[in-house]
Amino acid sequence: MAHDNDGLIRRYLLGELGEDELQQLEEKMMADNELFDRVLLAEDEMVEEYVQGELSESDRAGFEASFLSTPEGRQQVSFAKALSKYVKDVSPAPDAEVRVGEVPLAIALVAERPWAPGALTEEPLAEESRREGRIHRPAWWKRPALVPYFRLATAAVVVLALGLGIWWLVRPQSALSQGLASLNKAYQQQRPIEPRISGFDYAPASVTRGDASKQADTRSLNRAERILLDEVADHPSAASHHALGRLYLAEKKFDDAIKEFDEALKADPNNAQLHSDLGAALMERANASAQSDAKAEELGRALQHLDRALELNSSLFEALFNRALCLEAMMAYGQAEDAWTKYLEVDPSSPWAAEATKKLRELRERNRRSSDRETLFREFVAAFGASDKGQAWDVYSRTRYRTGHYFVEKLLQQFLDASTNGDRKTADAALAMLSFAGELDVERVGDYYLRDLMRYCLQSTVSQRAAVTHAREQMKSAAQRYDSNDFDGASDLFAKAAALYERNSDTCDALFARGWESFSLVRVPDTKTSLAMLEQLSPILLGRDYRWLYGQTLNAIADIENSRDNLSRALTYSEQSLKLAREINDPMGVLRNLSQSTSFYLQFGDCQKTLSKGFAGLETARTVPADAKQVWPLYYEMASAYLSLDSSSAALAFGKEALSLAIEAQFPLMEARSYARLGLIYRARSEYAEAMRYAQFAVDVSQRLSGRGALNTTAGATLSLAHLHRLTGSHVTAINLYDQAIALYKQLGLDIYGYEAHKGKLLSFIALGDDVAAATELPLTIKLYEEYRFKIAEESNKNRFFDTGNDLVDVAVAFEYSKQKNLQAAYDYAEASRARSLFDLITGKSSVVEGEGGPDNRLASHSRPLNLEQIRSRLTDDLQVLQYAVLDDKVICWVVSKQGFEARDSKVSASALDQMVHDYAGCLAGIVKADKADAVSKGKALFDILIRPVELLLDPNKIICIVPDKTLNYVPFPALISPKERYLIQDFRLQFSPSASVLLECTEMARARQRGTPERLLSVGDPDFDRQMFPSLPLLSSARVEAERIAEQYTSKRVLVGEEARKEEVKKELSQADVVQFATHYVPDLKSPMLSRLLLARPEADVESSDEGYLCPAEIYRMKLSRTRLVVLSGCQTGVEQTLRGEGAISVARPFLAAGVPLVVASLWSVETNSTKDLMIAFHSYRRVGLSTVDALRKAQLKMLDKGPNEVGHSFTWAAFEVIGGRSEF
Amino acid sequence: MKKEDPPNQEEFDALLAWLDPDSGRAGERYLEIHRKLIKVLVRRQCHAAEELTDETINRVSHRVQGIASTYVGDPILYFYGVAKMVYKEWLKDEKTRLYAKPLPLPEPSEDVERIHEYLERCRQKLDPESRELILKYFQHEKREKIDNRKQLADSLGITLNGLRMRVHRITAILQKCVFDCLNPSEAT
Repeated sequence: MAHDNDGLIRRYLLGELGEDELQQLEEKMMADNELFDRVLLAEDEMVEEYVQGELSESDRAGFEASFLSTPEGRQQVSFAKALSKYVKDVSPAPDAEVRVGEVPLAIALVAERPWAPGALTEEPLAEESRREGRIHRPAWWKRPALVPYFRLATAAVVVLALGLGIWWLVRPQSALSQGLASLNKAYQQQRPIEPRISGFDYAPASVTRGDASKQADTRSLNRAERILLDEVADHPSAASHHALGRLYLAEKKFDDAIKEFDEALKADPNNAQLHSDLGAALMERANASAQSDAKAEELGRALQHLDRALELNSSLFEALFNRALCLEAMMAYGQAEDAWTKYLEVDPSSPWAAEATKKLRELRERNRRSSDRETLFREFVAAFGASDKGQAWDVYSRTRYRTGHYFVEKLLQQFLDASTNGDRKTADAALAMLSFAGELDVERVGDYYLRDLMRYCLQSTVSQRAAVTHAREQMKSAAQRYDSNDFDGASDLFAKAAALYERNSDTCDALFARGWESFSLVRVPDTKTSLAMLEQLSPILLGRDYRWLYGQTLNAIADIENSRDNLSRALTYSEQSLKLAREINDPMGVLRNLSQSTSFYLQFGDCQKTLSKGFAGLETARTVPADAKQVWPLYYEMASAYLSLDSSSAALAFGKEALSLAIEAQFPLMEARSYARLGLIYRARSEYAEAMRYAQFAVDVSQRLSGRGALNTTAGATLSLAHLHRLTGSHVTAINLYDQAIALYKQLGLDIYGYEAHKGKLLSFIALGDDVAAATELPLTIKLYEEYRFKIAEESNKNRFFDTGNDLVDVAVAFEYSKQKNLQAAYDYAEASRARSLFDLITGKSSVVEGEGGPDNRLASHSRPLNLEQIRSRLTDDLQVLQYAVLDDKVICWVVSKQGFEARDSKVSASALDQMVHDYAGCLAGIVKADKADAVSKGKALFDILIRPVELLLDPNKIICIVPDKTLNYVPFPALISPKERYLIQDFRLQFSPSASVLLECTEMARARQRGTPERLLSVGDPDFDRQMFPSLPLLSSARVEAERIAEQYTSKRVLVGEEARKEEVKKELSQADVVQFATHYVPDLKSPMLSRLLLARPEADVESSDEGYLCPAEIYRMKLSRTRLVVLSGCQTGVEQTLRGEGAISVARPFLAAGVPLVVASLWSVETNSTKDLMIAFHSYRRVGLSTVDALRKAQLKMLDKGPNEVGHSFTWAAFEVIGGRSEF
Repeated sequence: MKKEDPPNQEEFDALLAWLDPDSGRAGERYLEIHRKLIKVLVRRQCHAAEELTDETINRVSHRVQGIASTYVGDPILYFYGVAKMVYKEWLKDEKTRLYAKPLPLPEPSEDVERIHEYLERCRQKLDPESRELILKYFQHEKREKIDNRKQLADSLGITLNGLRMRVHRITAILQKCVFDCLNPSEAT
């Protein structure tokens, strides 16, 4: 009985009880305390199982639907997760206990009791042999009969042999072999991870995911660890790092293993086994990671190394085996099948082969099973018979196809056929099941479509049913036309079917058919008509609670917005549709929407998100009987993303997987596109013959298609072929093909691809030296490119798009500068591409919105950047702008002032420049080791490139505002060293701005804040930050001194140090302060810069506030700091944490500029706290005696220079700081 | 759903008297009903469980003087019956509301990291025995977890279910403390 109740309680908690059962149980629970308590305990247990990933997949779905839909449930789950993590953190790790307890003990035993048998066997053989070598001499060594010269020669040979022998015995490899032998022995019973580690004998794979050392022979493992650690310490080499990496890999310490393998690869980059082991480590780390975000990317890297291993040794067993596993983990099932087959070709009979065979069998079985919708249908019928709603819902919810629900369509057909044939029994049975499904839809997710349809079926007349049967036939024909790319024909037929349904009062089917009519029109493409139809349909579907069908319309609207290049709107609709699909438990819908967002993110150029969405889509596809056509887009788009991320192996695998699926789906459009993409992938791999072959296939297949829909495919294939001809130097053919593609896209109204074609054409004109044609093409292409500024509203997406597309700007600048000699046009193109989002944030309207990927700025208006003439007219007399453009082969330096405009250049490749910047900034930041002479030469080399060409144009009496580009955002300009060994700051007054337009806008803001009244200071220092959250950050006692000493110099002030520096107080004071000093830690978040943290005092637990103990850029962007004239950020790396091409430096200085602060002082790298304190105190003291911010910082920097020896090693703190923003008097 | 006013003192006294002539026990009974109704409604995926429970009690309070003398059976079932009606009304309103506006965004769940932060603080407020018990109880996973809990129950001289109940109560206290810390405005 108790057991029965347990089952019932479990179903209750999973939301699987029908209303009657539910009420009965609830009544009992109310009256029976014991039962109520059991429910509570079962609930606790289930939450725990969920959190620990112990629930089955179906229970998990039920649990999520039941628990995560209420705040209480979500709270319960969050709490359980946190508690589980907390207990793990607080409890001593079992792993650590073993290592602390066992290893030293073993060592101690050996040390203290060398006579003990165990200790003796622990002695390395090499040591034993060395001892023997010292004691014994060969008998013939002292033979007196040998003549002296022979003795000498023999002695030489013997010495050499002995030497070699001793070397052989004591050589590092010998110890390595010992260590590796012990490691192999340690895992002889069970191998620790599924992939093959080179040098390991076969052992069955471990099935647990726990501590690997528990499955090992601890004694051998300890010995291996001791030897291999010693080897790396005493004889660091590729081999010793490789060996230690293998130990870590076996112990599942993947980060450590990867570090060792990377180190080994530096010295031995062509070692196939090393690549194979690194591939295995990356794969295992990806598989073990709970975060799916980076999984796909890491697996791509793993495959890259495994392919490299096979390039070096095509029959390396380990690499072949691991490659197949990796492809399986990437869910490239067709490719995995091929890879296992390939493995078995080289190893048909070992125990590894038996595993490979099993894998292959399982994979084939999986592929068959996943497509078996009939099995699911039978399960549904059985569940219906048993009134098992939970099971019925589980299978029912997995088979919703876009063209309709598989079961519903099947049962409806049965019902109509049987009704027509007078087979009442079959008709009733089908109807009963349909009604059951309809009730499930209503009960579970509140979707009334099927229930309403059933009501119609029950009430319909014989003639109505006959008409409906006819309409259904039309629908089928329409769907076939849709599948064969005849979207015009499809939309006509859908429209006819809809009209027939309408005439026969079948509203449900009519709405469905109208939906499909509009979906077909999207593809025609007739987006205007389809959008109008969908806008008409949407409210009707909402009003009738046809939630699934409503989700389809959202998805289609997203497609329309995408084809109109309204990418942000497209993404919003797609996300709404995805959310709805999740709410109504429609995994097929989830899959479709994830496919769509995969494609959108690829268009934004955000390859990481493309992969993460795509991977999530593939994981969803595993749970449903998805067909080839549904999963094709995921592989197709992910192939491109992999290619952009330089994972060409993964790109090729996914490209091939997409092609197989396209062929399986018998969908020529997909086939043609797959060929085209493979062409591009082969091109990126420099396999041009293959590339051209696939591109030609693409054109051939697309030309076989008919109807307007085929145009799209032909255009895509033609564009791909054009790219290939251009890249292989056939520019005339390429231009011809680009023209064809442009004409086709124009016909289709698809501008997004038109832009790509124009860009390709421009590049071909330039390559041909046809400057006249290029000059005509350039403005047109730039215009199309610039249109995206208005089409993308989210800042992160916009910045990413223009970062990816920035090469076009470089082409334009280079063309105008070098070919046309039009220096002004070159400058205007460069300036128009710089910090545009920041400019919009400063000048226009924006808001911070919460998106799927965290907070983001949404830009509501767009400002035009200034051109050269406007800039010159607005510059003050005492200002010169030194603006750079880093191109592939040169750096252009423009000097702009009210009086003149000049340009010079330095010949240097972008990659060499990048390295030089990295080296010199690294020297000053203390990251790159260099002696004084080396550092000085690096500083001089950069001076030579960046300053020397314009040195004579720079006026020492003016302020030089540097506008850097790309890598130059990291350059410590003040510390560049002239041939006379003087720092640049000694000769010039410097400040910085992300663009000339931003400089002038900030100058305007500064002018508005020019007041005669005393400045009010907010000085924040050494906040009592949350040490638990940031355990590695040191306390900043000197920052407290800094804050207080600075405050002493101001009459009106507020000092917030220690625990007083709470967020609310800081925010309140910020709005009233003229000058703000933040002497605190800054913790950049490279993944989400909006969530980087400027640390403040940790919040008090019992005080009512939303304080987290830090200020994020997202919060600063929301502020309007209309009074503040200067913010000084004396923490680490506050001036640049990453750079984007076009947008420039991303840092915490940026949101302050966007919030209206005209001047920000910030740092380029991690700064030392004591010298920063001195610099800052001096800086403020100079400001207080009347120097402007620029001059005060310069004087403070020069003071530091004077104090210390005038050499590079002493310059790192002062050189890190710069003034960013506008020209000011204060 | 038409909401009713909270009961006046007389009605509330009558309600308590109906639940149990002993005022202390009546109070306990009242809390038990409140707790159970919330749980039942939450399991029905109602995201306004507390509000509906209050509404249920308000309605019963207004009617109690009329029904107390004639009602046969456990009063808690009467509350349950009313709660079902209240829930249905809410469900109907909810549907209307849902489609009157764009689809609502699910509320964000509490940040696990933030909860984690407060756990230590709240655990320290427990008595030493409970403080340790909670760590020991949740220390392992899978098979080890089951064995560990059996051993723990044995060492405490209680049944496994007894142990689970004890842990349930401790976690309930912890959870309340943590969420009070997270949402101090809602703390009582």
